[in-house]
Amino acid sequence: MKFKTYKSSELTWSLDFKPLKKWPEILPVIALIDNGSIKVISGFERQIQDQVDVLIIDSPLNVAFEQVWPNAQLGGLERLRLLKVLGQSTEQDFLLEWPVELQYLLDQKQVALKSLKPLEYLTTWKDQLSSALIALRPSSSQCREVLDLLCDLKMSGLQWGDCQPEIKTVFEASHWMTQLKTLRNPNTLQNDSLVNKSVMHVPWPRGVSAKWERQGDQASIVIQAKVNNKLEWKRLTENLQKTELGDQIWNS
Amino acid sequence: MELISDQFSELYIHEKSWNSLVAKRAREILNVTPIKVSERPYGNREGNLTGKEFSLSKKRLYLAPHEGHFFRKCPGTQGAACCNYFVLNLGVQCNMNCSYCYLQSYINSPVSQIYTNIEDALIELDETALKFPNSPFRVGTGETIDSLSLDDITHYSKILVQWFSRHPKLTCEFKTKSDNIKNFIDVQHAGNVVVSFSVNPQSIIASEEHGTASLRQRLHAGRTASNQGFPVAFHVDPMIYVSGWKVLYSELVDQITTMFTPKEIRWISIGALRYPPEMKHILRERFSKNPPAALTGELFLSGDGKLRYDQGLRNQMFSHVIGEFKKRDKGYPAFLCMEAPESWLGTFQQTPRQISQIKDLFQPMAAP
Repeated sequence: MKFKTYKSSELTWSLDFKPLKKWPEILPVIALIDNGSIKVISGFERQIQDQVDVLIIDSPLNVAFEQVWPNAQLGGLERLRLLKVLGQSTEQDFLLEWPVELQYLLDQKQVALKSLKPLEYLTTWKDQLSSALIALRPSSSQCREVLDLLCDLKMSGLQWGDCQPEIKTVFEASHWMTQLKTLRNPNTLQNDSLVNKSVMHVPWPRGVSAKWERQGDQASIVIQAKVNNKLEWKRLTENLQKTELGDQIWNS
Repeated sequence: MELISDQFSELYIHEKSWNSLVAKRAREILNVTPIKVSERPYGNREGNLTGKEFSLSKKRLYLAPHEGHFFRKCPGTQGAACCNYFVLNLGVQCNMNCSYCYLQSYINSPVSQIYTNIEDALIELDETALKFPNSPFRVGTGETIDSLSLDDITHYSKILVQWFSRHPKLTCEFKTKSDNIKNFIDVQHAGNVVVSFSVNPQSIIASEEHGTASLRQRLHAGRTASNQGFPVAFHVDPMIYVSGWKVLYSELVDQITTMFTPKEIRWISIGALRYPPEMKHILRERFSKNPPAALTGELFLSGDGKLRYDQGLRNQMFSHVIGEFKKRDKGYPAFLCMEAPESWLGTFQQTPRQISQIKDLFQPMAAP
């Protein structure tokens, strides 16, 4: 091992895979000699400095990277970037064409790589979609769902303008998801909305609230009531039996 | 439909099957140079195939004996009413290309396979029939491969018709989207081989069932089979929701009922579009340029983990088709496939065992 200060221009920075975390300031940059050049493998952000403190280690490239950047500590996209600078390609390399800032967000949220497959079909929306995701910062599951919805909508022929977060109503990711779900399943959700209105207009017995609620492919009336004793239970069941549910609820 | 001679671009024959009749026919019929192998080419992929691999697997045919079981209960789906169907798997993959095909999520073999040792399959059937002599098994050969589309290579239809003629208590079903009945149509039979056709309105066939026979071809094949005394059956499955669906399915029912009386139809099963969510990736990869109904339809996660239309819509679709059949004649025997009791009650206002025409299918049966 050798410790020395070099001019930034004397070092090769081509292995910069834009790691998520900054290299600790108290540590020197780590580099190794590879094919006659001093290749930096950590502390890439110091490239802008004139002089850089470097610890040169004697190790093969792959071994050095594995020890300095253990695989298990890297995010999914981070790992792909690392493989790319090492000259190894994967089926998921298309993800690296998305803005690095978005890649950082997705790794921070620990979104699994397989959940990002829809991005392959959303490349024409790259800039706008990246901006929207960075602004709204969805959770991992929200991200998965948003991308899936957007992919379906694009394949149904919608444009970004139809899908982009509505300025007046979307302030967080969950709002956008609601907007996209309405676009994705317009007939079903419109029907649900109409039936819900009908359900709410039913003259339910006192103390009973009801709504039309969807769980997956099943939508049903959900009834809530508080019952404190046997008499109340008797009255509730009798009154419910007398409650007329119009045909419009079941024939929608 | 594409000529069978041009269906495959690669042909592999296991050395144990090289001299089999299936291999001989394949070498004669297919416009491709066969390669003798000692194991399956391309190995076995871990995990699901990509869309590209799945498409390629349809072009690569591998003939080999099957080492495992051929006969098993239909896997059905969680929570669905079970009609006691059994399957005899004589191969894997289909040479046609329906956009919604569940094989896209089911198989991980990079090649299409035909099992050349049907005699072992029949031994297994024999043993099962002996072990359960009072069980009237219904056995279909179209679960993992179309029953008839590659029959010019296998001639398995003829062998099965002959075998089942010696076992009149059992029923065999050939389930197909082809019209390829010529190899068995003149074989003497015992009336227990049902020739069944999956059907949809022609416009849906054109947009979703690529490489299959037209509706007219399937119905004509059914008519020919019926004229020779074979019972026929129809699977209106998967029903697909499109604009004007009611009219389209009414017309479909019209076409069927114009050509077949209730007595000529052994059963009509009805189901709606459904598939596991993980199949979306392969659908997008294979059909991104012309997205199919499976990708654009309003589908939701159901209790059995599959994506399906809203329950209420499904009930409407089933009620409509069944109503159209019953309007023409109450004797048409229709039932639902892979649906939970809610669908039965929503459609028939009865459970399967309460419906006289079909209740026997749903009775528990002694079986392996």
